[in-house]
Amino acid sequence: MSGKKQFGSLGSRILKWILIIFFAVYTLFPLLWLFVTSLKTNKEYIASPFSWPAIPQLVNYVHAWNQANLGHMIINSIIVAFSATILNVFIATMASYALSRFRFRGREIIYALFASGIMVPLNAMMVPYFMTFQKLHLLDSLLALIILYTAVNLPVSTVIIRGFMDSFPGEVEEAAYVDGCGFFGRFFKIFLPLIRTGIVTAATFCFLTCWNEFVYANLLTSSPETKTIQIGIRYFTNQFSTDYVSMYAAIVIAMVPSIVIYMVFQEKIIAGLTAGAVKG
Amino acid sequence: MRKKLLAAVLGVSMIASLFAGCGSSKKSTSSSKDSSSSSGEVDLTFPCIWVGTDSKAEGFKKIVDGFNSENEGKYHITIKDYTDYDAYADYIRTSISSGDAPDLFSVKTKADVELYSQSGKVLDLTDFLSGDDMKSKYSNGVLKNEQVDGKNYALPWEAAVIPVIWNGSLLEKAGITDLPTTTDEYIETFDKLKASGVSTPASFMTASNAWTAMLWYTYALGEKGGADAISGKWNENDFVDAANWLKEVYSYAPSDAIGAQAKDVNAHFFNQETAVYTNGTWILSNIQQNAADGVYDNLKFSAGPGNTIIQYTQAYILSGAVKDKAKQKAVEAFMTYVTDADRLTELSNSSGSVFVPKENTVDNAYVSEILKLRDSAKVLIPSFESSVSTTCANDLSPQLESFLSGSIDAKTFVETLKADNEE
Repeated sequence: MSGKKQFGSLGSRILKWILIIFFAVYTLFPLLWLFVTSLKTNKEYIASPFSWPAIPQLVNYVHAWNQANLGHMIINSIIVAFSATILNVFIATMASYALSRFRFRGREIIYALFASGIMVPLNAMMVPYFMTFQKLHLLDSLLALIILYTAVNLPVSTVIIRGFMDSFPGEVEEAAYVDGCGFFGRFFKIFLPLIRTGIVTAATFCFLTCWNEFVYANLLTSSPETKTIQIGIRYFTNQFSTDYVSMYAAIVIAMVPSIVIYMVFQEKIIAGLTAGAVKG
Repeated sequence: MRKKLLAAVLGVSMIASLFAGCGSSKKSTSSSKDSSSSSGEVDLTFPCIWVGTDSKAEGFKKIVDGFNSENEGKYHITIKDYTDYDAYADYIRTSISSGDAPDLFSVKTKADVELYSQSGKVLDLTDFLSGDDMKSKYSNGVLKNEQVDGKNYALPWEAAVIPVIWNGSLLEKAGITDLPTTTDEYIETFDKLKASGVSTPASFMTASNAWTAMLWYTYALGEKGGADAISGKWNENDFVDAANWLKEVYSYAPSDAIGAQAKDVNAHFFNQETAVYTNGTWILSNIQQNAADGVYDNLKFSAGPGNTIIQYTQAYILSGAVKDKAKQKAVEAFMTYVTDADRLTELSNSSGSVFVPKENTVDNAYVSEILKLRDSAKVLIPSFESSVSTTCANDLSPQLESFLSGSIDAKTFVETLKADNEE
């Protein structure tokens, strides 16, 4: 009996490790391939996409950095992504607070309007957005991207943050009210700390969207001073040919900040994504 | 510690973003309609794709720098870099729709010229191009052929001249000395190559704009219906026959042909997995840099079936300066400068590209050979993609994949494309 149990336990452990290794390979292989390819020559890449480089071409990283001016673009992306994320979360949190804690006519309609924004294909809005920023004389500025990214990410952030707020019982707020806590006190001192995980989750999604967005970055900026990292990555592709290895080197460089952000916040992100999963 | 660091990063980025916002009102962009700077110089903005790693980037920059230098204090061109062509097309479409067409920009098809000319937001160049100076730079009839409703809205600039490109070493190995001249002979040649060990001799792709397949189809149509086969009234029988030949060519292609992208087709030819390929002169430098040793040195060129060469204008330069007379003068000066035969020859030599305005003799032996093939071709036909409506061009790839995989027959394939083209 005990032997059977041990065998069963061993079998499940082997299965567990097979699954873990499978998913690790499944997840990490594309990244590893990208990194290895970024160290090859274009000729090696075309001849054999899965071989090791004969001599690692670190010069690809130098080309990527210098030719596409990636350093400046990364700084622009950091400014845009952080600013838009902070503004977005700030607005989404206040909107969610009103939608979650106050009862008023049209509340669910307003929430539905927010949520329906998730379904709107962004590319269909190019002309109206372009015209809006043109009228505001904000074309070719980082501020245009900050405002746009703040706005287009509001639906997702509001849905996430409101979900967290709804999960807290009204008694928490009532207790604070009885203790003399005012409107702002309840919002800043009670709710914000309680939904920290939700805010970090929404902020992460927002940051990654801002970091990876290309279409509007290309549409609303035109001078080298305002271009962001996603445009830098495409510097190596043109109408008839592509410098693949330099482009892959640029992608590896562009991935670093988002990986760092994820590493810093990973506990909060995972907690946020799994919150409520074990509630009865 | 982590919290402090994070707070510092966030704080710095917020402050920096404020400065970024403050910088937003800087001049630039095509939105500015002021034609003159404070010095009286007329500024033109040119969102441009001939930048970055494009083969023409260096040569084109030299031309623009030369223009700016020769016209210092009078005219100045500011280039805005756009390397991704699809994103560039989105930008141009959006800016024109918003009533803010750039001072100078380029498009790649006549369908685009027609579309934008109808908007009334691009400059009518008819008077300028009908002047003796500009007219003498083009072969007879070229400018007239590019008219939309009797007017020229675009400067025809870069040309696509597309021959069939062969791997000479693989031909020699197969004992092939005479290159094929008809659709039937092409199939016989593929058989010989296959027998010699090249199991998939024909390059073929169906993804994106189905570029290589589209070119094979164009050659077959050229052989069957002549120069106007696509741009004139469609003869359905010719189109069906050409489609069936295309399916035969597909049977000699690598197994990834359905869904293959340009990079896959290039890789097969560069690695000698295929022996025949079709593309424009611009690909030569790519073959030279990235193909296996010996491939570039042993290239052979021929016309397609029916002694057909594909030729069309693949880059037009247009202007959105419809209201400002000073800008219009600057646009004309730049267009005159950029069509100068010596400058174009220099650009051809450095990039492998060829141009619609007349050039001098180019240095590159392969480009010269291709131009000779063009000059002796029986049929000069524009590509299928450049001759049909945007709807039809966009539908070619999915319809072709359905046809090749047997979901639809040749007749349905042709009828669908015909309906698309008539929309």
